[in-house]
Amino acid sequence: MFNTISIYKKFENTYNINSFLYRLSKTPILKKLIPKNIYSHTPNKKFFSIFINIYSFIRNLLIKIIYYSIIYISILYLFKEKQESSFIHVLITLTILGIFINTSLFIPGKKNYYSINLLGFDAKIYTYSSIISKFIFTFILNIICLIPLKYIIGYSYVYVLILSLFTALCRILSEVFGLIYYKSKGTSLVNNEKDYFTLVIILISCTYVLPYFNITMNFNIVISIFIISIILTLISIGYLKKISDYKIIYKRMSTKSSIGLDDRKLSMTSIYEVSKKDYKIDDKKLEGKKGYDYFNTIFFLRHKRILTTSARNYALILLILSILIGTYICIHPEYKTMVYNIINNKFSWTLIIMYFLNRGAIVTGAMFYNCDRSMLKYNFYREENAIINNFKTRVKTVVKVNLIPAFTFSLGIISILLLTGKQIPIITYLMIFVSIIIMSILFSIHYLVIYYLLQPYDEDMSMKSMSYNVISFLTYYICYLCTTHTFSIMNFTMFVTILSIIYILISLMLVKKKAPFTFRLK
Amino acid sequence: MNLIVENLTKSYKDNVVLKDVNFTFEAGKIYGLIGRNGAGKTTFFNSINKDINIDKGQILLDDNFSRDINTNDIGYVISTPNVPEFLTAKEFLTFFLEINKDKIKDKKTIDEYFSMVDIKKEDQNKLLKEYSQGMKNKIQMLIEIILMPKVLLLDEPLTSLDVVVQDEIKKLLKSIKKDRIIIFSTHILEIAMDLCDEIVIINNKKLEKVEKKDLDTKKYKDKIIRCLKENKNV
Repeated sequence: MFNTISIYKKFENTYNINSFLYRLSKTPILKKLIPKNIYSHTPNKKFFSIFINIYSFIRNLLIKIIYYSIIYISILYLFKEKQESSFIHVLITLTILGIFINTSLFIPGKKNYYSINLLGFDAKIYTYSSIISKFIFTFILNIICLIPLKYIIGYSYVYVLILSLFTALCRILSEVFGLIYYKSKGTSLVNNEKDYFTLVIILISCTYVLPYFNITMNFNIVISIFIISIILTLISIGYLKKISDYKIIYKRMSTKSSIGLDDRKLSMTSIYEVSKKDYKIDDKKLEGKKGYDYFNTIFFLRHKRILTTSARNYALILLILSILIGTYICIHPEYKTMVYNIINNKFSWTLIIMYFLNRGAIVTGAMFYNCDRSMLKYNFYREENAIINNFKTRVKTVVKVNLIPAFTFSLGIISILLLTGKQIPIITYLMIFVSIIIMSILFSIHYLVIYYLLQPYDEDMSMKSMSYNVISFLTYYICYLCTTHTFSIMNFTMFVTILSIIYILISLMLVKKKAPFTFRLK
Repeated sequence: MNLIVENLTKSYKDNVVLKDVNFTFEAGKIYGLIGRNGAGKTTFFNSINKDINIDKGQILLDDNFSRDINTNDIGYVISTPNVPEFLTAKEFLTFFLEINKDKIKDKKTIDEYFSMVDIKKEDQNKLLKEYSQGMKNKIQMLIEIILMPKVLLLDEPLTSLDVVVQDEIKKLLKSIKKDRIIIFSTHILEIAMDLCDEIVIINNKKLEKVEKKDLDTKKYKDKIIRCLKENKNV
């Protein structure tokens, strides 16, 4: 078994290192530093192996720290007076929820396919070793986080040990649950939206609602749950030992469709799936359309779930929020000044709100997954005129769709400001309206531009280029930076409007010049 | 040794793809499985390989005594190969040989294995992601052949290969057919007639052998096409 674990770790390491080096080799500037024989160069790989392992550990630790921070902050805000009991209650309930939704072994995916079907790892040993390493890894990560938290929250070392062991045992239980669920239903719980969301809602409710009513777990209940988890783990180990057809389970889980060998969905790209209801298109909507206009109209009509419907939903939420705030300050006029001050001092937050309202990244993903990855194989689709015309049609549609929530948002803010009754020059209202509309256009164009200039996806969308990730991060970071500074409404709207117009003009020129060469399959 | 398929039935909801299929494949022969698009060739392979649940029937391996076939008896080369893209061909083969060292008889060196499918030295250290479909196909076929399984299922394996490699693979398959059963699905009749000892068509949800008897090649070919076109029993 140790030999299998060691070979598997080596395989996983090599795969991750090569994947990292490949990304580097596709990144502008950095790619010049990567020699062509890098994949066969062992000393370099040893260095990267250490680097990747440290990186992977730190990344997982950071995720855990964020997880614990969210629990702690939520406790601090909601149940300040009873931090210790609430924290333990929330952690245990969330860990129990994790049993049902955290399965990572018995889900369809390429990793299992490569390991079992292709490389021929012994499926039983592969399962055991994966579960054992998950147990150890979870225990280490949790104990690292729980020790410092002990000094902040004040629970005892007994709890540190019990909670670390409990979370690690639940990791085993989650894999066994995944296996039992798959054997009985032929799929994983995550793919069964109804069961999944029902369970998540029930357990999340138990997590925060019970402490609100002063119902939390005391030491005896914690110990009882811990003992039950030990008993269940022992039963699970017996169950795992009894199963003899692991290979068949993995094989069936890794059928063509689930690992994306054919053109059906990859589980990770299900977000781009077209709803069957949208297959049928009203002919009237296509009347008078020709060429790429016709082509794109069909595309957008079939994707209205992620485009139009989603934009309308956002607009509806914004409208309801505006009405609620407006009504509230009319009933309680004493809050008018506070609301005015928030809008006036925090107007730069509109940039990050517009960033989150825009569905650019998902729309371009759908464009690639459901259209361009096949169409780009044809010469006629890669011609300069075709690319530019297509881009223009897409820009028009995406801008139009994103204007729906932008329009609602700007009118909402203007209405609330009017209701505050403060003396605000009319030019400020005008600039609020113009800047929000321009921000919406900016984000709509931004995602399309980087899509056309970088074409970040590989054919099965298993990875995005590093430059795309860097630009996406920078986009978010700039929006975030704006929230940390205070600007007056006038300054901010002028600043954003002018910069956006400059960006839009430059990026459109760049697309015209470069996209015919950059918009290609990787 | 025989591979015995008894009453195999498989349907997807209301669509019955295979119905009461009965057939015996004999060791030492290469079978060409021919059928029209959607006739059920891949479903048949997936059923044998236990990739899908079958509705009825059994698949037995009769090697002195009859028993249920198990996944270790089978090698299956699928038509659209999916290989670990971020491994080089050499790394992939090294891992494969290391993992399966106890199962491989008549071991060779890595270079000898690569030369079996004509993969040049300079390509061995390339990522499989950068390989063409044909090259990926060769790698997939190589690892299945290395294990020398009792039953080798090949779903459209030669279509994407260049003629030189096609010829090499044909020779390789002919050289290993002794003591094993090779079932080979293809749309290209010429390849099937050139390589296979028996032609089996999948028609009307069943498998049927097309007898050659004393027909010459052209007449035999016409007979196969007629059978497929007319949807008749042979």
